[in-house]
Amino acid sequence: MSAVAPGGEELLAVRDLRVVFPGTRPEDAAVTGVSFAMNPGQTLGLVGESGSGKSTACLAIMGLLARGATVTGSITFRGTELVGLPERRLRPLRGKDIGLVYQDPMAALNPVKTIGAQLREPLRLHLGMSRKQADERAVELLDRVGIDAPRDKLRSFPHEFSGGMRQRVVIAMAVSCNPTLLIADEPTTALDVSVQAQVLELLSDLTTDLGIGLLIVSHDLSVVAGLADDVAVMRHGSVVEYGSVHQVFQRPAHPYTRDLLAVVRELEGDPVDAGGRP
Amino acid sequence: MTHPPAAPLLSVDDLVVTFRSRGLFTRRPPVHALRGVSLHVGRGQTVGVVGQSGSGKSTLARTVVGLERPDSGTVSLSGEVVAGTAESLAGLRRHVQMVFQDSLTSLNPRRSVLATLAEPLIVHRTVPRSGIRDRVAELLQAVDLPAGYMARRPAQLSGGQRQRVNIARALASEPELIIADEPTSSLDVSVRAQILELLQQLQRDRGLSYLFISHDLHVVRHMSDVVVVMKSGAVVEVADKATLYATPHHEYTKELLAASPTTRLALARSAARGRSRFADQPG
Ligand SMILES: Nc1ncnc2c1ncn2[C@@H]1O[C@H](COP(=O)(O)OP(=O)(O)OP(=O)(O)O)[C@@H](O)[C@H]1O
Ligand SMILES: Nc1ncnc2c1ncn2[C@@H]1O[C@H](COP(=O)(O)OP(=O)(O)OP(=O)(O)O)[C@@H](O)[C@H]1O
Ligand SMILES: [Mg+2]
Ligand SMILES: [Mg+2]
Repeated sequence: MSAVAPGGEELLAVRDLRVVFPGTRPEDAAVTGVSFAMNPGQTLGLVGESGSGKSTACLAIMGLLARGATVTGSITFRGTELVGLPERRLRPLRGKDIGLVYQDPMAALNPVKTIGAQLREPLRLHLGMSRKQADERAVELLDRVGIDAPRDKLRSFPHEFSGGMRQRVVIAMAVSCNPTLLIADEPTTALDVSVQAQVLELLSDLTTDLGIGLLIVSHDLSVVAGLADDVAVMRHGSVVEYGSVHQVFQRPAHPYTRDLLAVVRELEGDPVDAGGRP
Repeated sequence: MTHPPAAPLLSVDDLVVTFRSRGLFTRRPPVHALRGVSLHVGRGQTVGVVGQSGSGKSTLARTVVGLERPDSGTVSLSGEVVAGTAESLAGLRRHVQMVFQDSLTSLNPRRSVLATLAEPLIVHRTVPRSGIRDRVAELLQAVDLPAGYMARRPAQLSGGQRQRVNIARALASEPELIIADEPTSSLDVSVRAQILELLQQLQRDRGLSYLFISHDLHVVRHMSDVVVVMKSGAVVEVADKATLYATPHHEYTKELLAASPTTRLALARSAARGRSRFADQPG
């Protein structure tokens, strides 16, 4: 039942993570004692109700929490402790070794810069590409996330894109430098089913072909079921259930997980077999 | 299916919206976001809008509330054409509210939740001044947020919490029609079910109407009397929901319905990879 990989092979290990935001009482910590781990190339799904601390945990890994937030516990990325790491050592990791897809696409996009300029930036900074090389790569990335006429779109501004198009640009940016860990916070919320399928395919290819580790937050359990190997269920800042997707979805132990799955079953009208029977 | 009355609450006729880039040096082809869209929403009715990303759903919503200027076509409320004048738009705002797709940029980052929700109460005088705080607490409770969140700014809220503040703001002015653009996209199933129930309750009690945009077909099926399917700026199918789901007519509609993933299928794929850190995999 327990984790199989020895510590040395871990891509990411979060141990006893705790986050308290300024102006809130310690007993109202947004994240309280969260632990999970990922092997390279593995996909971990993070699910849980609104406000349970999923985005806070993701931002803590990236060192991007609001100023004044108190972070304790340990976050190791390929053996390096990230908690307390100075900003100048975190910055080179962001966007290169660790890609982040923000929950809110507009939080990641600069409204006064073209899409092309924003896609080129990390490519030139981290991979030392020429402008022309970066342009070619940007076109390829936009095409990969299903944006029509990608070359024309390089000169567009974020407000000229639809909600789903922006979300896909942010995904393209996050994967552009081939990170070893991709953190994707609700990456498909604004996408219709056909585009969603395409983006999920892309994420699945990245993990399978390039061995990228994927930490995916989603309230859509079918997305998590399809992509993830393991899943952690959060509630009120803690992980209440953690296991393989099969353990968690077929034999949910925690009452909250059972409730969650019951609602899905009702909505889908296509029951997941709770007992694991055929 | 309920029959729309003689003059529907909202009537959109042959709306055309084209975006032309006005850059000094850049010449990009114009984007035909809406190519003659018509639809009607009756009183107490919910019309669902589905369609591919980029098909023009948000543009339609934004044009109806006067945020985009149409090249041609009209928007009418209870039979009266809403002209693009300030007066007519102010009137529109009282009766029509919008929940925007992007919950972060549609909230003022410097305003507390209390100020955000109090504004429509003050402007539309729906409650006396002394009752504002109580009414805000009530609105928060309706969207399952603690009253203690009143002092928070948008950056201090989770994604789903921000989306619920947006919904509460739309409800605050007690409109007749709510145009909701992906209103529940960042909500987990249990909160989503609660919000949808609230919207339906208000419809039963007050005859509220909805133009409900969502890519989530479960949600659209659950909410709508009539479903409009859009593709590339045009309406390709209009049907009451029973007909749509039983006998989809247009190719794209069939595609949409077929692509709806189910958890069971997805689980089977995941198990086949066997990359879990946990030892027991099903046989
Ligand atoms: N800057 C902040 N200051 C104070 N509280 C905050 C701040 N950011 C988030 N919170 C609170 O911390 C809790 C966890 O928020 P978080 O964004 O991690 O939730 P989440 O699980 O991602 O939810 P959702 O599914 O709605 O996005 C919430 O109660 C939220 O209100
Ligand atoms: N201000 C603008 N300037 C130029 N083009 C725009 C503008 N706003 C929208 N568009 C374009 O119009 C088309 C329709 O966009 P719209 O936002 O209405 O799509 P949508 O159906 O809401 O998509 P999504 O499901 O992704 O939110 C897209 O091609 C988009 O790029
Ligand atoms: Mg979140
Ligand atoms: Mg939209």
